[in-house]
Amino acid sequence: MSRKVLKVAMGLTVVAALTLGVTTVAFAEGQRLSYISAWPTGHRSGTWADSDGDSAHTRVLLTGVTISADNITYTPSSVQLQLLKNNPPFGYQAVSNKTAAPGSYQDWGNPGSGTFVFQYNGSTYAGGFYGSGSGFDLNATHANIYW
Amino acid sequence: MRVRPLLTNPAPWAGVLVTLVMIYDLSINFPGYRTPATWQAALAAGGVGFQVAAPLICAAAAWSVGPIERWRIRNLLMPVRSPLTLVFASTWPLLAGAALGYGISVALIYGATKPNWGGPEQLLVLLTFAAMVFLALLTGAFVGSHLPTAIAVPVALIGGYAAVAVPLVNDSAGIARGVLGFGLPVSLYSINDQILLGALLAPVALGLAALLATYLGGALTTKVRAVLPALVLVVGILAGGFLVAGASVPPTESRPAAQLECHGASPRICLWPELGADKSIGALATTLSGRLAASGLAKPTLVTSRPGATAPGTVRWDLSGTDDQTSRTMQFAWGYQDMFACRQKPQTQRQLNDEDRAVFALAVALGADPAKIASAGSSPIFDTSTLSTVSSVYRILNLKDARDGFHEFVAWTKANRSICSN
Repeated sequence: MSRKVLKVAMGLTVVAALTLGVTTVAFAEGQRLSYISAWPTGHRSGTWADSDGDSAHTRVLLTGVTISADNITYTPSSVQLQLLKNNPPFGYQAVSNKTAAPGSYQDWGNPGSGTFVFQYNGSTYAGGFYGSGSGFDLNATHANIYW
Repeated sequence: MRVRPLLTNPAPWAGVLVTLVMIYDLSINFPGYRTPATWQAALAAGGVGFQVAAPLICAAAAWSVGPIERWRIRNLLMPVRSPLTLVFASTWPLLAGAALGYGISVALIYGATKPNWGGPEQLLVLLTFAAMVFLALLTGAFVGSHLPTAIAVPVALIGGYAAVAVPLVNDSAGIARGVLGFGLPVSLYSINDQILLGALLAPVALGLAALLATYLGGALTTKVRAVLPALVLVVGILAGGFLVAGASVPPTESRPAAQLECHGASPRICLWPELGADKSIGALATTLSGRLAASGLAKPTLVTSRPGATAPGTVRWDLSGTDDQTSRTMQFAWGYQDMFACRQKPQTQRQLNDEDRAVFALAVALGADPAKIASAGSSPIFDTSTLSTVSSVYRILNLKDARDGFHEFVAWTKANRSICSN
């Protein structure tokens, strides 16, 4: 093999190694007050960065919750959310699922420091789980995140 | 400086690159190098760098080993015939770089979390990572020996990256993720959990199959050389798949109650061994229980680390192992409030805020530092603009002084009965 080809291969290796990294983000503690409108299952929230600098649990509170498809609207008895943590450079990996009634906290305890999102997995109504493929979307008048 | 040896065998400088990449990857995935304070969590998180180092190891091994014609020349110069010997002779700096990167990563985590000893079974993850590194190395060597180097290196690099990334970002590829093992470093988020045994053994099955297949590839006659190693690999993949079939993502489970170390009678205190090794933690549980009893509140009968313990009088004490005294007191207050709260009952925002106010008041009464427990992330009742002083925290919690927290908590338990009875 020619020396030129070897140099190109070496360059590829180094460039790949350098591009695998990502920039770091500023971490803090805090809360975000928002709402949810027509989230299909699998939809993810915006990110937040937790420095794990306090003893606070990571919690999400949904109130005023409905699920809807076409002209049908139900008030679910519980909602399942999944907490995910960023694993650079590969993206978000599941921490764990939590299921809670609307108006009570989805509480993940203290999952450490990092950048997080939560994902909507589905809701329970009248004993049935409306998850992926159900066609029902999630709405919540308040979707508050505390970390 | 002579460049040609570095180009013929890049393993020495690639080994250095592997070490640096692993440490950098740890720093961006675990800011502050903090993990749950168990040896298994520290050893697992220390391997997060393998996610990016494995493709590098694979590519560098392909480059170092080179086409099979080069092997024949080496065989003429050195009286060795085993492919394993030939592979390791040229790639050992990669193994050394991976071991060094992993060792530094674990040392950084140890410095931040200082986990107490929790039993030898927590060391099994070392074997898992060794198998994963050998698999990356031998795969690279195989690719390098069967393709021209200029093609083999990019193929090994991109293929290795895809083998790590695709299962990690695709939840439907859970079995591939489990067999290859690259999800393990980001699987433990709590001292209350442990990695499934099958998830630790699956990469070991595949790594052992790769080692055996490589050995057989050199030791067998030409008639079966192509068949038996492939068969061994298939068995390794199937065994790995069987071990992780049905595993959740992440592949963890609650630690069994048998791991708890218990002592005392009133209350009985049952802690994970990592927590029990710190005698001040058990002593704090006794002190806080005594303060509750002295204030007229019911004394817990059991204080336990284990989630799901619901017997009457049980305080679930959710510690991470790296908490300070105030955090431990706050977590104790949360666990004590669970004895009375009906968290699965829907509540109004006002009722939820009253519940939060009561638990923070109790924590203050038990001795937690108000300035440390009140943050914007702690609860909707706290607003950063009003948290400048301890007195402002007292005002939010409706307290005249710390001891008043017991009265606030008792008032909440009475009001809370209507929620539980709904």
